[in-house]
Amino acid sequence: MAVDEAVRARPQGSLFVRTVRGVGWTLIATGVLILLYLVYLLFFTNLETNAVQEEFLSDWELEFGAIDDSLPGEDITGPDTSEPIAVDVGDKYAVIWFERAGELIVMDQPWGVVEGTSVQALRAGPGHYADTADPGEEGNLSIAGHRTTYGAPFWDLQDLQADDEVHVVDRDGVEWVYVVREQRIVGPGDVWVIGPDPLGEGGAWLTLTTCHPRLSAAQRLIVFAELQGGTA
Amino acid sequence: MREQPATPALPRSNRLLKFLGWVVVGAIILVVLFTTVFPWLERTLSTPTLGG
Repeated sequence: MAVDEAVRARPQGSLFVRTVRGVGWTLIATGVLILLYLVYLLFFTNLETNAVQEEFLSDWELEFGAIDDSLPGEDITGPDTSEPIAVDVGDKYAVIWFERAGELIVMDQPWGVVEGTSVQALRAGPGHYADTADPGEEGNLSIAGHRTTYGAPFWDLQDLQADDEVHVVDRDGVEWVYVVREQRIVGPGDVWVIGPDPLGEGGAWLTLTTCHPRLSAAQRLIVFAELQGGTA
Repeated sequence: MREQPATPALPRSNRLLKFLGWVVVGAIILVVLFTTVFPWLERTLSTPTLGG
């Protein structure tokens, strides 16, 4: 008997065996799809967000002026008392970066911040919690950013130490400098950290939130920084 | 004489039904993955916001 005839002649098994085989292949295919999605989340979303950020920063310079203006500007010492800015969810809101002794830390370059903290908004970069203070304003400017996936802008947020600087450029081109005061690990429901006066000290504050530990949403890493001043 | 396969081939209508069955099962799995499993995975890996 030829080999192909022997294969054809092989019994296909009972209905039970064929069903188990079908379920097995279905589970394997589902597992492969989930693994592929994990690879997409952990690697390819970074490429997507980096491309969005590149466009964000070049558009920002055209719309709102240079981000790192080396020319000396007018110093602003107190909180901003101008009218709040109305920005739609997903629109360009600010630019943020971190410095220690004049050197960039945490992130390799400034990152664009969008308005809103929806899942969709945070895919473009860090997002400003709606209804929290604007840059330089009295109250608590709160910004969330991914620690993994979608560019992971806050991957190294735990590296921030007391007295490090957080620079935030707003849509008026004013560069606000906040000084890091402390870090905390809180639960996912601790919304008080983005309240108007989280530390009960008054004044103008910046709160950064991200997930903790990396690759988990079990807790949140929080950084509190206090307004030092601004340069118009 | 040529040997017959142990299991006779399915009639054409049965094969079509079997194919459609796999299409339905695949579609259900894809819908569940994209509406439930993938968003859950995304939230589990990274949720930077509070309260949600």
